[in-house]
Amino acid sequence: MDAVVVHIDMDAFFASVEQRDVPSIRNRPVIVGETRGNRGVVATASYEARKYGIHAAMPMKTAENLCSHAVFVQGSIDKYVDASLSIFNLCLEYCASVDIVSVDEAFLTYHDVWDSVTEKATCLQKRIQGLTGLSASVGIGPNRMLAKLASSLNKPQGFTPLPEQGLPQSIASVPVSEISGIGTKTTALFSTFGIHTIEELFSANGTILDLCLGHRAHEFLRLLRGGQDPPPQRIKDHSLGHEFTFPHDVKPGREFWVTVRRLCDQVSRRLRQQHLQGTVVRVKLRGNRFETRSRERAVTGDMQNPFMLYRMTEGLLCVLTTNFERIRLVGVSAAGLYDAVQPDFTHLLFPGIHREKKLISALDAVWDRYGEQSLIRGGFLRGSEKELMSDE
Amino acid sequence: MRIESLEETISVIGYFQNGGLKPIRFLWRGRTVPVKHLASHWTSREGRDLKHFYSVSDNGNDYYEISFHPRTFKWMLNRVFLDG
Repeated sequence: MDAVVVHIDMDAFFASVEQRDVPSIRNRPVIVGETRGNRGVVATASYEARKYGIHAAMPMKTAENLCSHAVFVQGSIDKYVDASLSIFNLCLEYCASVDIVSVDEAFLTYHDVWDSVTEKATCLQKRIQGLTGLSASVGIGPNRMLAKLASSLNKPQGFTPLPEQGLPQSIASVPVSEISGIGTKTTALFSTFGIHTIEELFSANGTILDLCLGHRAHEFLRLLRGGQDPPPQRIKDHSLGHEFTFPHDVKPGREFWVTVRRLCDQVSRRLRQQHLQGTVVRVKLRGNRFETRSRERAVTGDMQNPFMLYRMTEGLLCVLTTNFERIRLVGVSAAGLYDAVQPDFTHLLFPGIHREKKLISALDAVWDRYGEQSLIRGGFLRGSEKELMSDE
Repeated sequence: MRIESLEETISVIGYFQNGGLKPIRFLWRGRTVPVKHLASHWTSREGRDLKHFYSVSDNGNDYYEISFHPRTFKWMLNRVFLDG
């Protein structure tokens, strides 16, 4: 099934957080940035401030000249990250494949029918507002470029689906400058050839497009027509996984889930060791009557992180276990492997995930030196084992 | 709206509940400020210290950013947003 991508983009995020916390500055121009000294720049301006021509990266002094009655607020990144974490945790409840691209935006990739994705995205947008008091604009499209374009079209609080049917006519009048990846220089270059809208872009001849977009031209047009995002480069078509046969058949209780966690630890460790990342998570169950079933799901999260891999498998297993009275074997594997050398911004932005990374690195160091049985999580121990450990 | 950045020690009455800490009122420059609304809570790490920040408002239209420092057990008033 083709992917449907949802882009969540928070509206004037930093300014909205300040307006949420201080109601008396709501509906007033608010400018968040570095207010100390003379060299600060605007981080975010509320929509009320944008009417005065104020935008991000503008020097604070210029913003002051344009709108002297605005409320200037010193930014507090920890506060914004905290709000951001609440939002992305909510996104994870709605989709296993959440790709956080900055503190205030993320892509959610579904392999589901369009109507179902639209329904989930509607619900998510409402819950973000309800939980955090902040508004998000949502764009839905068959690929990331169109989803991002869609979210920018009706800000703030926009909800814009761009289904593949009807493309590119549905975006014909949109200025080319709205397309992610087309900056001011390319826009100016297009302008010299009389290309201002997407419709004009499609009617332009190939030589002009090659001149303006270089080798990206063909790919740009393909994506704007609703083509799927290119898959991450796969190096092998094999999978990598671990299975465990219980000494006695179990119900999906504590022992079962502890084992799943342990398997996720093992799989993610092997991915880290081999510098691989997966695009598909696969689970397998065998029941007490030797009936075997498996399920898989395309994902874009970080499978090298065992906590995240566990979250990916949990949903699949919750559904699959309903088919079994008792379970004899459980397996977790990662498939669709590719070389994991891409930069991951998540860890830079979110201290919680960064701490998980540091913990994982520390565990790897111990396991590399002393073996994989040298250190295990306390949560994996049974009650009697915990008592034994505390006695020692 | 006037925003003032301060770093003043304050006395706070609060309560701990379900793993959280909620300020009820605080004493600042001899004045008791009741916390009528807790707008948000977030944490900030400085080295080993994890500080808890609260954005709160009183009866009127004044808003305050206060913080609790578990290592020193001190409360600080960091910013005030004064109406008018």
